Amino acid sequence: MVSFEISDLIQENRIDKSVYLDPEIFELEMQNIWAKAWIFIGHDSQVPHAGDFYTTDIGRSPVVMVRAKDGQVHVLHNRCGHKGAKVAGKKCGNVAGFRCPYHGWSYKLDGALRGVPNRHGYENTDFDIKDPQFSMTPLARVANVRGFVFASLSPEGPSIEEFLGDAIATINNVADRAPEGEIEIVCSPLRYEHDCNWKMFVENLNDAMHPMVAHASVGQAAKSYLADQPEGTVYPKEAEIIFPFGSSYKFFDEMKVTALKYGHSYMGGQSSIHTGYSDIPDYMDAMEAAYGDTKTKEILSQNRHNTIIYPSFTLKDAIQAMRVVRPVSVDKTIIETWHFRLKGAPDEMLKRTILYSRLINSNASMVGPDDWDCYRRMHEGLQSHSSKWVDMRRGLSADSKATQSKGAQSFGTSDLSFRNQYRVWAKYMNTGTSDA
Amino acid sequence: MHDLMPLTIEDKHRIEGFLYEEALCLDEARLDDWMSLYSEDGVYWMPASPAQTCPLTEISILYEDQLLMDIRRRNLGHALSPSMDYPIRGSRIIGNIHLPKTQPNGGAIRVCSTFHAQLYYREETTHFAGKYTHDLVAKAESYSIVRKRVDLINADGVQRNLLIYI
Ligand code: FES
Ligand SMILES: [Fe+2]
Repeated sequence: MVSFEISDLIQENRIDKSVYLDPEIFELEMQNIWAKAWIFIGHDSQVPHAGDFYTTDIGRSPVVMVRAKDGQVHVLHNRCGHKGAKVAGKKCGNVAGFRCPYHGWSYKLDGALRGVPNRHGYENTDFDIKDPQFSMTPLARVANVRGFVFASLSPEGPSIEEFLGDAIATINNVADRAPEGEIEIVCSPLRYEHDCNWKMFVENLNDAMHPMVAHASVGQAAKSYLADQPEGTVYPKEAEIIFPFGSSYKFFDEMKVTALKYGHSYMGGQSSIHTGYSDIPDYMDAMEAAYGDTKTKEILSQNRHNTIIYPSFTLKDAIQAMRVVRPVSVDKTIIETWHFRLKGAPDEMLKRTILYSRLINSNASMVGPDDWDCYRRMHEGLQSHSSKWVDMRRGLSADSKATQSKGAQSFGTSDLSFRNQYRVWAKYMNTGTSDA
Repeated sequence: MHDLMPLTIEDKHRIEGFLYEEALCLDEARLDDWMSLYSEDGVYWMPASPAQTCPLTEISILYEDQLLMDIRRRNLGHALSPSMDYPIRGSRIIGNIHLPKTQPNGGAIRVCSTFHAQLYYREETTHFAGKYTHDLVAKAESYSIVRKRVDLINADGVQRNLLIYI
C-alpha cells in the first residue's frame, strides 16, 4: 500500500516535490508508466543481420532486440526460462542462437527454448519444452516505425499509431530527410549518467526559459573569442551551433510549444534553433534527385526542435541524433545519445551532427554539464523545508485558448509541456493507463 | 612502419619533461599555458569507444582544436555557468612512457604513456585511467603537440561530468 494519493501531488499549476524525490513514487512509475507505455528500444539498423542482437532495459527490466533468420526483429525478455539468469550479457553481438551461461539452456533467435542439457532429469515432470514459461518470452507488444523499434511490457493499451499521434510526423520527417528514406545508426552512443530524476531531464527538453540563462557562458566565451580575432576571420561552424542557444525569449516564444496526447510535445514546427544552419550543397542535390524540388522543400520545411515521445525518447528533425532516457533510480538517470546517418546523404551531414553532439550532448561539453548541474540543484534545493510545491503556471491562462486539432499550442516559453506531462503522469499513476 | 627513432638520453628526458609540464598545466588549470603546448593545428581527442578511428564521423567525448580550446579556456570558471560554480582540482600521474614501434608518417614523434588522474568536483573525487598517445613535433628546445589522444579504459562506459581536459 503506498503512502500517498496521486491526486494530492498534482495540481493544475504546481506539483508536489515528492514526484521527483520519493523512491516509492519511482517504484510505482516503473510499474504504472514504464511497464505500460510504449518505450523506445532501439533502431533496427543496430541489428542489420540475422543473429545480431542489442541489449537494453525497459525501466529496470532487461530486454534484448534481435533479428531472426527470417529478418524479423524481435524484442525478448533477457531472462532465462530456467532460474532467471540474464542470458545475453554483451551490449551487442551476433549469435546463431542464445545460450544461457549458467546451466546451458539454449534458445532460438525468436526466444523459443531449443534445448536443455541432461534432459532426462525432467522425465515424468510437467516440464514441456514448448511451454512459453520456459522460453525467453517475447515482449507483450512490439512495433517498428520506419525502423524505430518500440515495445511495451503491457499486453493492453493504445496501438502505436494511437500512442504516437502527431509525434509520428517527427519520426517520418527524420527518415524522409534521408534521400533513401532510411536512417542508419552509427558508432556506439554517448552514455551520460545524471544525478537526477528522469522527469527533470524530460521536462528540460521543452524548457525554453533556460537556454539563455543556463547556457549563457559558452555563448559569451565564443563571442569574446571572436572579438579577439583579426577582422575578416571566417565565422566558424561551431558558432552556428553554439549561438542559437543564446537566442532571445522572443525567438523561443515565437517557436511555440505544442502538447500532444500521452504526454508528448515538441517545440518549433517551421523554425527551431537549427533553422539557421547553412545548406550542404551535395545534400540538397541528393534530396532533389530523390524527391524532386517540391517534395524536398516540403520535407526540409518541417523543423521541430526536441520532440518528446513520453517517457523514453526524444528526437529533433534537423539533427541526426536521438536521446534515450534510462531511469536507474529516483535520482539516477542514464541518458544515451545515439547518432545516425541519413542513407544517401553525404558525410558532411553526419559530421555536422557529430560536431553538434560533441558541443552539446557530451558529458565533457560546455552545455550538457550546465543542464546536469541545474537538475542536481533542483534535487538539492528541494530538500528545503520551505515549500513542497514546484511551480508550473507559466502560460497557464493561454493554454485553453490555443487548443488545436493536432494538440494544444502555446508560446514557446510556456510551461504547457510540463503541465501536459503531469496530467498524463497522474493518469498513468492512478490507473496504469493514459487515455489522452 | 618506421624504425624506432634513435633517442639520446637528453631527448628522452626532454620528452618526459614535456609530458610532465603538460600534466602540470592541467593540474593547475592553466589552460592558456596548456594551449601554448599545442601546435596551431594541434588537437586534443578523447574517443567515446576504444575502437574509434575517425573523430569526425564518430562521436567522441572531446575533440578540440585551438578554437574550441580557446572558447573552453574562456568558459572555465565563468560566472554565468552553473556547473562552474564549484572548484575543479586535478592530480595527474604519468608512467610507462615509451615510443611505440609504429610511428606516424610525416615526422612527428609518437609517445605513448599510461596515466591515472583524480579529479575533485562537486564533493566527489573521480578516478580516470587510460593511455595517452602524444604526437609531438620539435619546436625550439622543446616540442609542440600535434595530436593528443586520450583513451580512457571506460571510454564506452557510462560517463559523468568532465569539466577539464584529462
Ligand atoms: S538459469 Fe539459465 S540455464 Fe539455468
Ligand atoms: Fe539545456
